[in-house]
Amino acid sequence: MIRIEQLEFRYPAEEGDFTLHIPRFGMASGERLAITGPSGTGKTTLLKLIAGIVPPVRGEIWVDGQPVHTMPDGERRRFRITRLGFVFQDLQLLEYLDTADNILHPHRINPALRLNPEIRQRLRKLAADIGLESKLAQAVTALSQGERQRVAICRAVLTRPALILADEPTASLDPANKLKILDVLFRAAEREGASLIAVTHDHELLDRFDRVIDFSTFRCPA
Amino acid sequence: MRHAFYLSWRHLCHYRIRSLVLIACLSLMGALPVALHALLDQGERHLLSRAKDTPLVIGARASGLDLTLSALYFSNPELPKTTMAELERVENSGWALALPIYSRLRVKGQPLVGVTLDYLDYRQLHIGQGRMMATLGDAVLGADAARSLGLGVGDQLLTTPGNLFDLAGIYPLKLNITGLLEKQHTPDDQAIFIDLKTAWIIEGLGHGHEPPAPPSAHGANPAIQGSPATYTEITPENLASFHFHGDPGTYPISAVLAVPDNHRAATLLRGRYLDETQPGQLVEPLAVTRNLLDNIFRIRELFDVILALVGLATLLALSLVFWLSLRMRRGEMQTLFLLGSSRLTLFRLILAESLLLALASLALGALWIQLAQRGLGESALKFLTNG
Amino acid sequence: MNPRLLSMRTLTRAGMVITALVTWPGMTAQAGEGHPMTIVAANYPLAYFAERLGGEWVRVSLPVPADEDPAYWQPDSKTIQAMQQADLVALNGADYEQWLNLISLPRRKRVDTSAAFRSRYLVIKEAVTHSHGGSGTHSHDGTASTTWLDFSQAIQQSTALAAAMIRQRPDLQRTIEQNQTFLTADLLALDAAMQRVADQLHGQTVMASHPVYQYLARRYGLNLESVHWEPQEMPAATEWTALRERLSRHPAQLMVWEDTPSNGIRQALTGLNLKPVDFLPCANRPRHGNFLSVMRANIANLEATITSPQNTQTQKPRNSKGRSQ
Repeated sequence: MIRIEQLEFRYPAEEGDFTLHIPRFGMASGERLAITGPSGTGKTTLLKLIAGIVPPVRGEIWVDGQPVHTMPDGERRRFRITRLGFVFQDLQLLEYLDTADNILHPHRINPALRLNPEIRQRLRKLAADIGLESKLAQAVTALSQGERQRVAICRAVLTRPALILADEPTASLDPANKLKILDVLFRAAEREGASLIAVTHDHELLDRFDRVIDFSTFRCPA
Repeated sequence: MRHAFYLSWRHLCHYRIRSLVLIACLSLMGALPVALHALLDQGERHLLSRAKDTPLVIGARASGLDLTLSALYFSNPELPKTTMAELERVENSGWALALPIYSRLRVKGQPLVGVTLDYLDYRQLHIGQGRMMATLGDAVLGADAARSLGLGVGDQLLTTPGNLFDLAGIYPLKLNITGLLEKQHTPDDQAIFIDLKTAWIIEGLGHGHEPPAPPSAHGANPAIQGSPATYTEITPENLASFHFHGDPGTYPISAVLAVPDNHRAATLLRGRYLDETQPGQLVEPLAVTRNLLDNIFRIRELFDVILALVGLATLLALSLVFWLSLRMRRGEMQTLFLLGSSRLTLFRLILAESLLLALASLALGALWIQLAQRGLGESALKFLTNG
Repeated sequence: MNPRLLSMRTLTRAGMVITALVTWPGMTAQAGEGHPMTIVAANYPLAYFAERLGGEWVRVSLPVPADEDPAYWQPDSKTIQAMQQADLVALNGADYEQWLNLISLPRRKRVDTSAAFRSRYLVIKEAVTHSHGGSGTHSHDGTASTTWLDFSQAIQQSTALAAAMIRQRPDLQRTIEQNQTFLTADLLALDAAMQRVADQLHGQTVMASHPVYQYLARRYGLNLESVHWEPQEMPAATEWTALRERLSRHPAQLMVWEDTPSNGIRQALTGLNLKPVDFLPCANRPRHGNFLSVMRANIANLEATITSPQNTQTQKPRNSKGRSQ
C-alpha cells in the first residue's frame, strides 16, 4: 500500500528548522498501523507527506502504487480526494454546516466527487452504522466531542478511500469513548477495505493495531 | 456553482447578524444616491405638475418665488396681501377663471387656507368623508392635515391667535370639521380649507351678534357677551347674525390664481400687469418653478460629488471588512484546502457569497428606494417649497 | 307719453318678434348635451326667467317654502348642498340674499343678475324694524331689493341670467338666446303697459302698504309714500292717525298692496277715500298663474282703479318721466 524510500523533509528555518528523514518504510494493504512518539517528532508531518499535502525535499513516496512525490499539484489533490481519507487532529469540522453537510462537504467542493442520491444513501447507511443517524440534521456545535469524532471519521470514509490517515483520532475523549471511537474507525476501515495509519499517544490502544511504530526511530536530528 | 451558492448561503445564514449588517450597509450605500435622485426627480415632477396646473398667479408686488410658493404651496404666510378688488378685476375681464387664495394663517403647523369652493372644484379635491363646508366656520381637511392633527368629521379645531400676523385683539375661531378630502399627493393634502369669508372673520373683518345666553364653560363668543372668553364659535343659532363691515373690495387675499380661457386671454391678462408701478403683479408659476429647479440642479451636482466621496469611503471600509472577514476565515479555508478544494473552488465560494450579498443588498436597496419614494416624496416636496 | 319713445319701443318689439319667428324652427333642432342644467333661484322672478330661458333643458328649483318671503329666508344645510351641486345659482343681488355671506358657494356658479345696474341701487334710510305675525322682526334698512318691479331692470336681470346659463352650458346657447328674445319681448310689453298706466296718474301720490315698490316708483315716475302694513293685520289706531296726517300732506286716492288686504282694512280705507290696489311683487311662486300673468294683473288692477268713475278727479298733471327716490 505504502512504500517510502529515503524520504527527507525539512520545515523552513522560521518554522522551527525541523528535518524529518525516513530511510525506508513500507505498509501492506489492509494493515492497521499505529504511529506513536513524543510531540514534535514529525508524526503528523509524515501523514501530510503521505497525503501529498506537503511535498518531500527528496526521496520517494508510493501510495497505492502511485508516486505521490512526482505528481503535479492538481493530480496530487485529485489522488488525495479520491484515494485517501483524512481524520484531522482538530477534526476541522465547519460549524456553519449541520452534521450531514459536514460529512458531504468533500463532495460539494471537489469536482472529482459527485454528490448524487447514491452518496446520500451511503451517508445514511454509514451514519446508522456509526451511530449518527439521529444527529444528521443537527449543527455540529451541538454535538458531543465523541459525536464530532464520529462525524470526522464518517467524512473521511464516505469517499471509499484506500487509505485512512487519522491524526490523534481519540484525543480529548474519556477512556471508554476512546475504545468506542477506535472501534468505529476500525470497522469503517474494514468495511471499505481501507488500510489505516493512526497517530496516537494513547498507549493503551496500541495493542489493538497490527503494527506500532515508535516514531523516534525515524527521526534524524538536523 | 450550485454547491458554492449552497455553502455560501449556509455561511451567510449562520453568521446572520454580520450578514445583515453588511447587506444593510451595502444597500444603503447603493440606495442613497439613487433614492436622493429619485426624490429630487419626484419633487421636480410634483413642482412642475403643480405649476402647470396653475397657469398664472396674481398678487401684491413681492418676490415672484414667494408669491408662487404662497399661492401653490401655502408656504409663506408673511407675503404682502392683495385685495378682492384684484380678484374682481380679473373676473370682470372675462378672460380667466379667478380663484382667490388666503394663505396667511396656520394652525398647529398646518396651513389654514381660505378659498371659495371654485378652488376645490378646480383642483378636483373631492370629499372622501363627511360633506363639503356649507356655512361660516366650517372646514374641510386635506388627508395629511387630518392625519397629522388627528381630527375627523364632527371634530372642532381652534385657530391659534399666536399664528396670526396682524391680529388686534382678535379671538381664535372654533372651526367645525365637516369633511375630509381624498388624498391627492399634492400640497392640498396638508391644508385646512375654510371659506374665504371664514378667514376674514378670523382676521376680524366680520363678526356676529347674538342674544344674551348663559355663559358656557368655555365662554364662547367673547365679542358678543363681553365675558372673559377665549374664542369665537359660529353656531346655527348665531350664524345669521354674522356680517361684514367695509368695502368687500378691500378685503385681503394672498393671491389670485388665474386660469385663462385661452392663449389670447393669457396674453391680454399678462399685458395688464406689465406696468411695474402698479401694486399688483402677475407671475407664471411654471417659469418661476423652472428657475427654482435650475438652482436645485446646481445643488444636486454638489450633492453628487459629496455622495461619491461618501460612497468611496464606505466602499473602502466595506472592502476592509470583507478582507478582515476572509482573514478570520483562514482556518476554514485551510480545512477546505485539506479536504481537497482547489484555489478555483475557494474563489468560487467567495464569489458566490459576494453575489448573494450583492443580490440581497440590491433587493433591500430597491426596497429603500420604494419606501423613500412613497414616504419621503412629499416630505422632499415640502422641504423644497418651505425651505 | 312721449310719442317718440313709444314708436321706438314698438319698433324694437316688432324686430324681436320677427327675429324670434325667423329662428323658431332652429329651436327644436338643438339638443342639449347630457343632463339638464340645474338652476337654483333665489326668488320666483329669477326662477321664472330661468324656466323661460332654458325651457325643457333646465331644471329650476326655488328652495324657499311657499309661505315665506325669499328676502328673509335662510337656507338649511340640505339646500346649501343642493346649491353647491347645482350648475348655477341665480341671485337677485342688491343685498337681497342676506344668507349669501353666511354660506359657501362657488363664485363661478353664482350669477348676480343685478350687477349691471349696481350703481343705480336705491338705498333705504330711516327704516324701522317691524314684524309680520309670528315670523319675527325684520327691517327694510339698507339697499332696496325688489329690483324686478322695474321691468327694464328685469330685462337686464334676465339677460345676465341668460349669459350665465350660456357660460355654463354653451351647448344650449341657441335655445337660450331664442327664448330670451321672447322673454324680453314680454317684459318690454309689461314695461310699456306699466308706463302707460303710470302716465295716467299724472303724478298723484300713491300710498304703498310696504316699502317694496322703490324701483317701480323710480322707473315709472310714481309719487310713492310707504307705510309698513300687513294685509291681514289691522293696523293700530295710531297708525291710522299717522296715515291720515300723511294724507293731509300728500293727498292720495290709491294704496298699492303686496297682497289683498282684509275686509276690515278695505272698509277703513274706503272711509279715507283710499282705494286699495293689489300689486303683488311676486317674490315667491304665485298660487295661480306665473310672473307674467301676475304682473299683467297688477297693471290691470292699477289701471282699472285709476280709470274708475270715483277717480276721475285727478291731481294736476306732472312730468310723466319723473323719478321718485
